[in-house]
Formats: sequence, structure tokens, C-alpha cells
Amino acid sequence: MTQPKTDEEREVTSGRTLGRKLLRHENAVLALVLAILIAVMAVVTKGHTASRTNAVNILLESSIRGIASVGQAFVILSAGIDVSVGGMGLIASVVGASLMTNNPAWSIVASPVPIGAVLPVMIIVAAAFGSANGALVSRVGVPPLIVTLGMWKICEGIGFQVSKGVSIAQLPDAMEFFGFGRVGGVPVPVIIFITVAVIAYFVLNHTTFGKSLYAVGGNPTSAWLTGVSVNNITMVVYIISGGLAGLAGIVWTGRTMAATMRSLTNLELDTIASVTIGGVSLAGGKGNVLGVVIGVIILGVINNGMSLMGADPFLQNFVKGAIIIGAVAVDYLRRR
Amino acid sequence: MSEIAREPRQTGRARDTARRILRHENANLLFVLIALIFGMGAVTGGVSLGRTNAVNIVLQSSIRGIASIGQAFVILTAGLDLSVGGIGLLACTVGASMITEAPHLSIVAQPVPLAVGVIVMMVVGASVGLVNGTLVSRVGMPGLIVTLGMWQILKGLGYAVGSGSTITYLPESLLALGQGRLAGVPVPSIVFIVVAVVGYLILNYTSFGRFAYAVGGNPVSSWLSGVNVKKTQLMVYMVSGLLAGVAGVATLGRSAHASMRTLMGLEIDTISAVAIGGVSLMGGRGNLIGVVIGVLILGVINNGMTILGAGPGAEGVVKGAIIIVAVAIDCIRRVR
Repeated sequence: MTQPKTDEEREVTSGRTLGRKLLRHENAVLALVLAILIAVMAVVTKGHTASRTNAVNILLESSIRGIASVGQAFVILSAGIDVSVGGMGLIASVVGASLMTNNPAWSIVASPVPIGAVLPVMIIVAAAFGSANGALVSRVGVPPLIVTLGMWKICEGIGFQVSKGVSIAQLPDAMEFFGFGRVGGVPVPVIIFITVAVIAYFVLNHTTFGKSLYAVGGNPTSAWLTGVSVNNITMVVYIISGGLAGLAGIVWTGRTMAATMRSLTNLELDTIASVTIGGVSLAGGKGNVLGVVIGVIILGVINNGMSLMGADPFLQNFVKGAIIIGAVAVDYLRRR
Repeated sequence: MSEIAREPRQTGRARDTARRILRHENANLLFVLIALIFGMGAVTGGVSLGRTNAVNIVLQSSIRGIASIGQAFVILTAGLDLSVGGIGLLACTVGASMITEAPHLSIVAQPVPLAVGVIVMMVVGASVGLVNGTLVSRVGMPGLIVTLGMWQILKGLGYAVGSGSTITYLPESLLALGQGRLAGVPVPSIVFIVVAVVGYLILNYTSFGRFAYAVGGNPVSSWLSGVNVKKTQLMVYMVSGLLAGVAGVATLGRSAHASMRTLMGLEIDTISAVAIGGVSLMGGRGNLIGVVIGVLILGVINNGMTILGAGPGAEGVVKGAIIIVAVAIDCIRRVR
């Protein structure tokens, strides 16, 4: 929505036309869907979902998924897909925990490493796997699905080897800050999510990298012909996805104060669902961060509603699967 | 090797046939398989070469093999079926819930006869395949997304049908089928061999088979040549679904129970087997002999790892690496 330039335009942009401009915004439909969903859920659960603590809960629960979804959005914008996000988050969590834990039986080093040094390591480890993904996709040309599918299993396997299948707990108290801390009343995970989203918005809309990314996703050949380094951009988005998955792993470890093999299961599904709901096209080149954030929250509201209604965990799989198919079908039908 | 340079030297018929065999597409694969068998034999100190173990390998590969043949059909048309595990799960859960003799696990008033149960399972598989195929051919969505979403939906349905519990108390007749032998060959292996032979005949001697290759190789020219691309796409997904259902029947027969873990990971196994077997993920290239060898190669590797006592960690890493390497080799071969 640009600022009106002339006095004339400023006169014309009264409340009425402003409303119309809002409605025409790309994400208007999405925001509407969210509002309706919240209303429906509130009615169906007899007001339970409308409480303040519940709203904060939804945001909190969505933050981990949200951080990883921003990374997934970058990848999908490049017409790729990353199903290894759960695995990379898991590895970050496991490696971090094994370095920080005060219990020598679980540790992989002589004495626990200070948390300040471990956090960057967690992100770097995840990003390293992301770079492996990126290299295989951009240099060797293996389809992103296969690369990330294989990488996911590899990460799970390594995670199992490092943790020996045990839940690693007894982490330093400072980790709790990432899961339960609050700054100015706002939970830390939410702050991290918002920060990541804002930075992503800035990168996508106001840097050459962002514009090149949209070009690569939309039409890689023309992007290449225009001088965009398609291979480099592809490489970078997978590194971003890895790094953000690692960050999500940090928050997760902070919330559960442990690293288990169950960490971040279904994260790939959740991120893909959030991103597709958020209007990002799986064919690449279309979508924005605001949509992704709304998509994340929509999924959060749905998850929250289903838990409150006592739905089985696998029902959530059903719903997510249906959402993915529905959202992508809508996108494909619209483009016909 | 130039034929012209060889001309003066008279080549005997035996050498001709030998050269034809050696140049055959699948010759390399066969060498790999043989090398692996001996390699594993050496590493395990001869344990893996025992007769019972060999039968074990073939037996365990059979179930995966049945589903891999279906996956091969789909991948030949440049599609992908990630839902095979979910289809197997649903088929097993539905089938088991209908034939079980325990009333609290059953979904029908009286346990259904085994034959009916088996047919129901195959119908379930084919129906899901029908839905997959329709979404891919009519809506035009990529098989990846359709089957990814369907996979989750099926998990949810499987849970809904079986309430998440392990369904046992299955009739004796089922076990006779699954664990029985015909002329010394385990029944599931016979089914695998039959499916492979029928699949081979269909792919090489029917128009449907030729269309499958055509659609995978170049959908536009196939369409221009009058091939019913949509129908072909629909049918390959139905074949995959049906065979996943058959794999479910075999699994049920062998393990005598159905749980939420049934046929987990089947999608990765089938895609790996098909990719190793020389079928290109870009479609249009490959044959079923290669797929069968690919299935056996995977079986030998899995078997070797189990004998060596490799934990789930190492298995995961190896599986992930295999699928990436197998597809990477194909990508490199195709483009460079």
C-alpha cells in the first residue's frame, strides 16, 4: 500500500477507498480466514479459545513452527522444498544438549560447554546440513525433495547416534530463558519469531537477494539470463532454512529443557502447511512473509482448537494433510 | 569399442551374446548386487551367506518389492507416490479390524472371512490410488504434494479406524498365507515374483505400458500423439495404490498384527529401490528388472546392517545417503 502522492489523491483516499484498498491486498483473504476461524473456534469451544492466556498460548506454540516456516518459505519461494527441517532442528537440539548437559553420562565433551558458545554451534550445525542440501540441489541437480528426504533420515540417524537414543536433560538453567523467559511481558519465543519475520520481510522486499529469489522461483532460466546467480541463491536459501531450523531447535530445547528423538517431529509438515496456507506457491516465485505469519497463526488456531476439543493427535495429521492438498489445489485452480 | 575396427576379427556367437548381456542396462546393477553380496559376506564373516539368511533377505524384500513395482509405474510417468506407506497402513488397519476375532478391536459385528478382508484391503489401496490419480491428472497438482498430503490424511484415517491400538487376534488362515510356503518358497515372495512378472509384461507388451513411458518421457508430445495422458496418470497411481494394498496384505500375513507403525518408511524404501534400479525420477526411463535388483540390493544392505548390529542411527544415515546417492548418480548421468 503506497502513500498517496498528490493532494488530489489524498482527498480521494478517504475511509471508503482505503477499505477497498485493504480488501484488495494479497493477504486480505487470508486475514479474513483467520478472523473467521478465531470466531468459529471460540463458538465451538464455548469461549475457551477466546481467553487471553489461550491467545498467548497459541502465539507461543506457533513461534517454533513460525521460525522454521520462515526458513521453509525462503526455500519454497525458490521452487524447492525442505522436508529435513525437523531433522536439522533435532540435530541442533541433540548436539547442543550433549554439549551443555551437566550430566557426564550424556555429554560428548569432558566438561559442559558454556551456553554462550553452544548456541551459535547449534545454529551452525543445522546450517551446515542446510548447505549440504543446497549444494546437492544447486550443484548436482538432485530434486530438492529427494535431497531433503535423505538428509532428514541422515540427521535423524546422526541424532540417534549422538544421543544414543536417550533423552538428554540437565541443561543449564539459562536455557530456560529461550523457552519460558519474557521480555517486557512478551514471551521470548514470540519475540524471536517476530524478529525473524521482520528481518525476512526486509530481506525479501528490500534487498537484491530478495528480488533475485523471487526471480529464481518464478522463472529460473530468465533469472539466469538476467545475470542472477541461480545456483548461489538456491544454495543460500537452504542454508537459511537450516539456520532457522537450528534456531527453532534452540527455542524448542529451551521449552522442553531436554533433547529427545521426538524433538520437532512433524515440523516439516507443519511448515509446509503454514507456508501453503500463507499463499506461497509451491511452484515458486509467489508469496510474502506476512502471509506466512498469518498461515502459521491459522495453523496454530486450528491445532489449539483441536487440542481443546480433545481430538486425537493423528486427527491433526488428517487435517494438516487435507489443508496442504486444499491450499495447493486452490492455488493450482486459480492459476488455470 | 568400434564395431568397424573389430570387423576383421571374427566374433563368435558366444562372444556376441556375452557382449549384449554385458552392455545391457542392468548389467551394472547386477554386478553391484553380486559385489554387495560377497562384500557383506566378507564383512559378516560368512553369516550373511547362509541359506536361511538368503531366504530371509528375499522374504523381507518381497513386501517392499511389491510396493516398489507400483512406485516404479508412478515414477516412470515422472510422478511420485509418497503415500504408499500410508496406504499400506490404512489397508492393514481396515483389513485387520475386519477379520480380527477380538470383538473389542473389530469394526464389524462378526469377523469377516479372510478372502473378503483381502479383497477389501486391495480395494482400499486402489481407491486411495484413484483419489491420488484424480488430483494429479484433473487438478494438475504435482504428485509430490498430493501424495504428501494424502499420506497424512491416511495416517489420520488409520488411527481413526484402529483407535491407535495394535490389532491382533487374527485368524489362523491368514498366518498360513503369510508365513506359509509353496514348494519351499515363502508365499509373499511368490506374490512378489508374480507381481514383478505381470508388471514387466504390462510395461513391455501393452499399450498402457508404452503410454506410461511416453508420458514420463515427454507428456506434451505424448498428448500430441494421441496418448490419453490424464488416464495414464490416473491409472499408474491406482496401480501403486493397489500394490501398496497387496503389500499390506503380505505384511499382515507375516506379522499377524496391524499397528500405527505398520509399513512406516515404505515410501523411502520404495523410492530408493526404484532409483537404485535405474528408473529415472524425471520419468520415461528404466525397467522393472532393474527395480527388482534394486529391491534386492536394498535388502542385502539392510540385512547386512542388521547382522552387524548397526543401530537405528546408522541405518538412518545409510538409508538417507543411499537415496541421495542413487538419485544423484541418475541426475549426473542424465545431464552431464
